Amino acid sequence: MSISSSLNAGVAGLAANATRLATISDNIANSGTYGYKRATTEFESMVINQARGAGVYSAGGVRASTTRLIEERGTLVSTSNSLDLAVSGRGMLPVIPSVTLDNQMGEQPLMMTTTGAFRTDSNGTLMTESGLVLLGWPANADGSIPVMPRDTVTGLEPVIVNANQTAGDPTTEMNLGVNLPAVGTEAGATGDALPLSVEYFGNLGTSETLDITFTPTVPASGASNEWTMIIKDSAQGGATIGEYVLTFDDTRGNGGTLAAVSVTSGGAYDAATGSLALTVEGGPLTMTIGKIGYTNGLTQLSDSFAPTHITKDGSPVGNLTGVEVDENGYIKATYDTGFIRTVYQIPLVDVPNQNGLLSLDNQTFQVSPTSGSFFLWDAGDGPTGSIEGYAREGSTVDVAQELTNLIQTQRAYSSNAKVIQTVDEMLQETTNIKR
Amino acid sequence: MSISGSLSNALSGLAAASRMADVVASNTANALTEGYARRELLLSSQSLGGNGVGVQIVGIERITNNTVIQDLRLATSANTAAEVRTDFYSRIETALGAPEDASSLVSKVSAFEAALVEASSRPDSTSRLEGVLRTATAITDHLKSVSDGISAIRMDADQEIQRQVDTLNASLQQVDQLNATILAHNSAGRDATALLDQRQAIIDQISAIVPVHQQERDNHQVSLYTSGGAILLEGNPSRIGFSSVGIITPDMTQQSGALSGLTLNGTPINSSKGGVLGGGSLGAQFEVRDDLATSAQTQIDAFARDLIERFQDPAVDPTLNAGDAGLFTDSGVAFSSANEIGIAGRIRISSLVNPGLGGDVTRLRDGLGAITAGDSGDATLLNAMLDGLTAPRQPATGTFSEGANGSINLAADFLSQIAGNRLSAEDTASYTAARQSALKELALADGVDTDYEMQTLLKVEQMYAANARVIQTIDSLIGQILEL
Repeated sequence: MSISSSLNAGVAGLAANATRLATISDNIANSGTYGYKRATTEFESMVINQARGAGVYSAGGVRASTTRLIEERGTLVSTSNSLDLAVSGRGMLPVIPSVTLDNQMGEQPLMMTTTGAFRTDSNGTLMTESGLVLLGWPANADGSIPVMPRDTVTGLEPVIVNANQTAGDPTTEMNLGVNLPAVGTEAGATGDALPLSVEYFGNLGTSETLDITFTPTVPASGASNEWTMIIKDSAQGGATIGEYVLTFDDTRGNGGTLAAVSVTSGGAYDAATGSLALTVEGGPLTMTIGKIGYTNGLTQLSDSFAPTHITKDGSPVGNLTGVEVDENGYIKATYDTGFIRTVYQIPLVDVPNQNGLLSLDNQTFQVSPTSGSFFLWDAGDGPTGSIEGYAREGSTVDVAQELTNLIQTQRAYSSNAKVIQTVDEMLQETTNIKR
Repeated sequence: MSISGSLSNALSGLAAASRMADVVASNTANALTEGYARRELLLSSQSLGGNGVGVQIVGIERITNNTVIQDLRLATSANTAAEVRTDFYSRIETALGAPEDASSLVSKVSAFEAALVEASSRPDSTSRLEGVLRTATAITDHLKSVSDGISAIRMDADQEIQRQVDTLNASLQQVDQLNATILAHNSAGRDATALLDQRQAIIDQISAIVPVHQQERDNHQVSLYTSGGAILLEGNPSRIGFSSVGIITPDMTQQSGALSGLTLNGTPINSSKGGVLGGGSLGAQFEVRDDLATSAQTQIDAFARDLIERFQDPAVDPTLNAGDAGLFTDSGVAFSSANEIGIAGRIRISSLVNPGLGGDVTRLRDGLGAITAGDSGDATLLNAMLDGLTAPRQPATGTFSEGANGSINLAADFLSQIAGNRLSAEDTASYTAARQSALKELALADGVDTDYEMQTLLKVEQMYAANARVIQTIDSLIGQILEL
């Protein structure tokens, strides 16, 4: 009887709207949850009677289906913590639950999330309050990332940052910009050697010095414009590692620049780069003194001895002061000596169908048959976006929209209830025919 | 939801405004702080994933004019050096005394001359002879006090050098440590501007000792070197060595090895005024100790020698044999030109004429070598002594004005040399002081301007209110939805 089908349709309507109410309330409850993806309810009509013009109609009712819109992205919100991470664009951060960290058996389930506030725990492991451990590829000692398989989790390791970590960085290059006093090579000058000590850092982070002396050649008359440069290494007990005779130009236009460098002992002078190939205790060290005719290296002008610019790489052993993540997912450790080293790379996980991912607690997702298999991208490569530090991804919920939906649902629910009430009253009428 | 985005935008605006107020407050609070450089907050718009998400605090910039600071430091060194020289000359001048002053060397020589005149008019008067003895003793006492004064100046200079070298070493250590701390602060993203102020103040202190130049290196590091080219700090601080001595006598010099020179990282360096660490008060103290004070000593010694030789001559006192000490002696014995250094401190009246030491004042009349008492009315020797004192004589050593002069003129000549030098040193000092104060004013002009800060504060107030207004509006928007 078609009247009973109306009752069924009304009940189905109540159930479908209750489901919709559930998604709305979940959305509003999570409107402040970082990384939350909004759930929606779709209504599908059901048809029972296919006969056209039969004069009878059976109400099929309605069926509700819910989906989570994982592909939809929330706005990024800036924070003040360097390890608050979010993804700007496609891709997700690889994580595992901390409970499986010690699980040596079986495959560890790869989970992914779009944002997380990562902090170090007592072991230095980066994890969120909800127990999600960040995964990454560890860097080599020199800061480079080895080639890793991109379609499995085998290369990924929990990211561990030790606060008391130290690191050294040996000096391999040095630029020497020194002005020598031109009056020093004039006849009648004292001929005193000019000393210059420059610090460098050995392979073990020890502070060593290169003691450089400039001795002028004082001629009987005129000016020689010639200096003997002797370089001694403190790491080798003050042994001479290089002796060079420098001649300076005194022509107009090029006055004061290097005219010739002749090697008495030690590494060769490369005229193309203006550098000396020295060998210190720990290995080769390139000291740039300037090309011939170059005004920014060693010069001989006026009467002052001035170290105008001395730059070098390397740094002493330092303590970790901060960890930051750059947009390509490299975790950079900063030391108090100014040295910055790459310690991990965080890849971005991407799947062909994001909406097909399995949703789990704590705004995490897992690969499912409908999502397709995952691939680990370098952040910013391929379809993926960049990783942002100091940021969280806000909830995709729009409260105004949810409240509007709430009104609609409420009205639909009461209308369905009215149908049930009406059917009840009509059945009552039928029953009342027989007294 | 974009409405929450607006909320976080406004929040970042509030944070920036309050930070700006903090900077204004710090500037205003330090408006009178010496060495404080004005700070400015650097803001930039922030973007995450290509979308604007409010304002970002990039950092705090310290506004300084390095050129003026550098010039000021060099002017400070020059000024302290000039002051040291002025001090030295006024101390010597005070020790010698002004000619109009009864206690001056010139007055004492002239009193001695007057006493000889008086005694020669009444050679039999013991009291007049005692007057000669008394005035002669006054001259020797004065010469001794000048010589001791010069040695005291040199000792003071030696102690001062030690103190300055210690300060310099300690300051370089501090700058080195501050370099490291500033680097650590910067790499941790903390504000290191207060440490930069501190480092600048320490380098300013160094500039009073040596003329220091500052070179910026990577990561806000500085290296220091002097005008003379000594590297004070290049990665590691240099170690300056010096050892002071307890007491300095006129014959002790750096050349003789008795006094210490400077070493730089263990290598001896030229420590004179023109040396690599010269040009500031350290160089000036060395100049005083090794040059100015020793030439004053040479002059006073030359005067003392001249005085002794005037009376040691057998032509003046026929009772003396060649090689005998005269009225003025070198600690009781005859003067020998080999012992000239420090003679001013050792000059004494012959004990033969001093009743206190078993002598007899009548020997002034009868001759120092007289065996028996002579004629009490004979003034020949006294007259000869007077002639000896006033006779023009070219001093054997020292630098005095051309030609032969009497002893009193020599004393006056020496005094006028010192006074002349003092005046020229004062001239230099007043010039360097004026230059220093002009540069100081320039440096202060870059400092905090409270009017400007108050103007910024007004802007901060408006900015804060506007951002708060945005938050209020968003709140009422959300309220509207909830009231549906």
